[in-house]
Amino acid sequence: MRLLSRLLRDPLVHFAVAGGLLFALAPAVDDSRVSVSRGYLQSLHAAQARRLGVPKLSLERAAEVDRRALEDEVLYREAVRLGLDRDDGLVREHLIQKMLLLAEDLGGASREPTRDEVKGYFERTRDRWRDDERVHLVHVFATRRELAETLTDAVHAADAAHPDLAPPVGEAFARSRDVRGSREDFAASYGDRFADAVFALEPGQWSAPLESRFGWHLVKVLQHAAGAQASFDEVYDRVRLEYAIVHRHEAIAHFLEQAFHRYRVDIDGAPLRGYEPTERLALRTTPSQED
Amino acid sequence: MRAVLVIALLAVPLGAASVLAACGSNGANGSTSNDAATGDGTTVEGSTDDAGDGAVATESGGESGQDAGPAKCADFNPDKNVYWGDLHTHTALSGDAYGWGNRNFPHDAYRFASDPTAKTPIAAGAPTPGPLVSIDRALDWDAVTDHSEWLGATWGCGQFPDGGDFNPSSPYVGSTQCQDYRDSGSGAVGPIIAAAQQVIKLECDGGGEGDPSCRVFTASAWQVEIQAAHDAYQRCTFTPLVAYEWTKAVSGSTLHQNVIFSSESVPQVPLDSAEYTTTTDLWNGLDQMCVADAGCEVLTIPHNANLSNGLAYQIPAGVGARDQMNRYQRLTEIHQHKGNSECYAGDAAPDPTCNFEHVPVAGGGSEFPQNFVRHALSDGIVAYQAMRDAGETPTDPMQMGIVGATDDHNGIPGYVKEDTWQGHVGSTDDTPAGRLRSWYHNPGGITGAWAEQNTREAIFAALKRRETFATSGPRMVVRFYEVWNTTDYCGADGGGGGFPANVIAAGGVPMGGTMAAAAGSPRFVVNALKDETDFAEVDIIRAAIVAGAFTETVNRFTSTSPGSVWSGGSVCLQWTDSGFDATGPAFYYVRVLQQPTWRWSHYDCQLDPTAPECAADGGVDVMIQERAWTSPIWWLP
Repeated sequence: MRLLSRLLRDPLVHFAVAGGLLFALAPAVDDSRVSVSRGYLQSLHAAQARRLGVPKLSLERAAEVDRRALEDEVLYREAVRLGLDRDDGLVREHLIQKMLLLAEDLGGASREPTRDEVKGYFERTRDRWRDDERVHLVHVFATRRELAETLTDAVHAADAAHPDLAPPVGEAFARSRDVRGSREDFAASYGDRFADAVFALEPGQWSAPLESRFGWHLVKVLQHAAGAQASFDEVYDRVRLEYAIVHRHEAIAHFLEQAFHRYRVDIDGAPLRGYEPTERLALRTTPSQED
Repeated sequence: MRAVLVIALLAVPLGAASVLAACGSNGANGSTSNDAATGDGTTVEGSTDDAGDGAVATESGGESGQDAGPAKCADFNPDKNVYWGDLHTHTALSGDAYGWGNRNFPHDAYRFASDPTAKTPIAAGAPTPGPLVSIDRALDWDAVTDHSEWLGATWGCGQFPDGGDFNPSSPYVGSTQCQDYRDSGSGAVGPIIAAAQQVIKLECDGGGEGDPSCRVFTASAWQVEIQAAHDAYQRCTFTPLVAYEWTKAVSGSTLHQNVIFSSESVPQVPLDSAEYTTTTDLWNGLDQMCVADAGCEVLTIPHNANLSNGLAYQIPAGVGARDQMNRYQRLTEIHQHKGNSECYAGDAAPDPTCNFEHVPVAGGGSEFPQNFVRHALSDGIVAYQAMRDAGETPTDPMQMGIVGATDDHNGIPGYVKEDTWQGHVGSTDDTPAGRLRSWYHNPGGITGAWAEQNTREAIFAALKRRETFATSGPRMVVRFYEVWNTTDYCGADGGGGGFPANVIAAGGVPMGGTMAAAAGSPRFVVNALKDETDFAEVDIIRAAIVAGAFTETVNRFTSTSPGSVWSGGSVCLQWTDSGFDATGPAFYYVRVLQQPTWRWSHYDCQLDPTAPECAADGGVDVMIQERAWTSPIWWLP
């Protein structure tokens, strides 16, 4: 009796009894039931409609999507029942990737960084955020110096009407006559001497004829931006993106270091020493302006 | 947008709501992408690094193909700028390139092309690795075109020089088949491909390529290609195009086509030559799997017609087939490592200038006239006339614009300078002696595309409307227009408005276009700016059906030709075709020749003077005239 009362007070026993009750009360797991929600099917319809570029699927197409979705469920269940998910390279890759995603998330890397965090990163990596010195110019072209000199009056007349446009005079020139670039850009296309000359011009003034590798040009520099340390605001988007990536690297590295402690890892029986995480991400991420 | 979907799809089965927070949405299948694309964008770049998520890729076809943003690039030019690119690059994911030691991935190739400071190894996996190289001037765009065949083999078996696996999750990387494949390198392509086929059998459960059970492996490698093009895209600066090479060969005749997509909405796997065995099969497949409404457009570009034994440019029977060819085969490669394909230079060749970087016929004998672009373009207008004569609605099935490329197998696109060339097939030719053994190869060419700005949409549109020209390497810039007036566009006042705005305003038809209704005789304006070397000659090649008979002429212009404005760096000339017959079809294209400069083999002969190929007479220590070829302008009455 005393034993019973002691047992009745034991939390472990409470746990076991509660568990047993839950087990008894819960409906038996029914392996044969395949259940799909209407909401899920509707989301598939929406996705398919978007792929086809139509506002709404026709009834026949929607029905086909439904049938395929149900088939997919059954095929998936059959595959799992037969153990096809085990020892499968692709499934393994998929799980690894999911784990990496979760690791990033657990490490807080999916949270939008605060402005202060980004700013801190910007300060630590300041040297890398610099803008090149750049020139924006318009020009007219002539194959010979004398011809270029004869264009001066026409250039000034056109300039008075449209100071920011390349005057519609001069000889044919296959490239653009409204050009922006760094000194290196100009040197690559027009030659070193021309690049040096235009970077020495006073903005807003038409130049004397300048020689390039193509011939002669009258040039007006519209804008000459000095190369400078970029301000935080100017490069905020790039810094934020890079910081996010660094943060994700750190989250995964941290997770892996912790996880390695839970295993004894060996190669052909020789225990692993001095584990160093590699630089990896769940999803490869390099800055891209596309999205 | 694609990347966003990938995350959503991966995250849904994970069932961890917290992961979904990264997308700022609830992850309902597919319906979240708009929110996320305009949302924070912080963590949504890119897709899988090394994952077999091929199945996921098909769920991501929602990309519209529209410009990512309405903002124009700083250099936007309604009269178009020239942007340089290479439409033919192989990386380590090409079965043959891996065998020759290539360990550069698609993202390495795009970095090489876009960043002159990037140092990229040649044949890093060969027993004796090649040098590190950098491009001297960045390309503006590039297409990595790995072979669709054997794509799963290097992805499943490949290893980096340090022994790490390309794909650590590959179940086969330790198999004897993979071992054989990895050991089969550094030699002829036959054994490499044979070993790759054994790997594919393993992956495909005993089957061959084209077997549906193989698709997951191919899809996984294809995903790496798409991902690289996604990651490397820098709007306004560098445009990678998703692409592959359909590698069809018939008894030693090269019938390959590069398949170039407009966006990242592409078929789940590349349509390869094992399953799609003819160009018609390929195009029928693309009709099904690359639908414009879903944001997928595609061009297929034949190359190495010079090695096709006369088979590359056959015109199919039937109106539907000819229309289909006209839709897909809008461009052709005129120049690359394995020779030039402009025009016939064999016995009794009418145009001696055609004899430029031709690969000698294996076993001797004269080359096939049908192997060449000019012949194919001519066949096109002849077929067009025949359709008119038969009372059919005519189409020119050979209305092809001109591009140049490398076909580089080292993963280094656009590396085309004669004085720095390091070969194109890895360890086989990364030494002077190796290159000189294949003395008939060359550094290959590049393409200039006339586009308003450097975005994927604008570059693809330029390719599609054939507003392109090829060069044998140098970056000379060529404009070419047709007008129906007599205005002097080369003169000092340029006809008002400034060139080329004045020509365009006057209805000038650019290279790649078709003339509008005739009004007298057509007049052609050519304007070219040199790269580093002055020009020697500009040719306007004209082929036409005049009074019912085919005729071909080469009109040559030099610095002494009347009517041309010719300085060291710039040429402008105008020419009226006084023999124009409006009743028959015609085409016109421009060829620009530089003054002679040293061929690559000269530099190798300096490094290896005793090589037999460098003998004083009949050797290869010679000069060449590098050149450019524009797309034609057609008259199709």
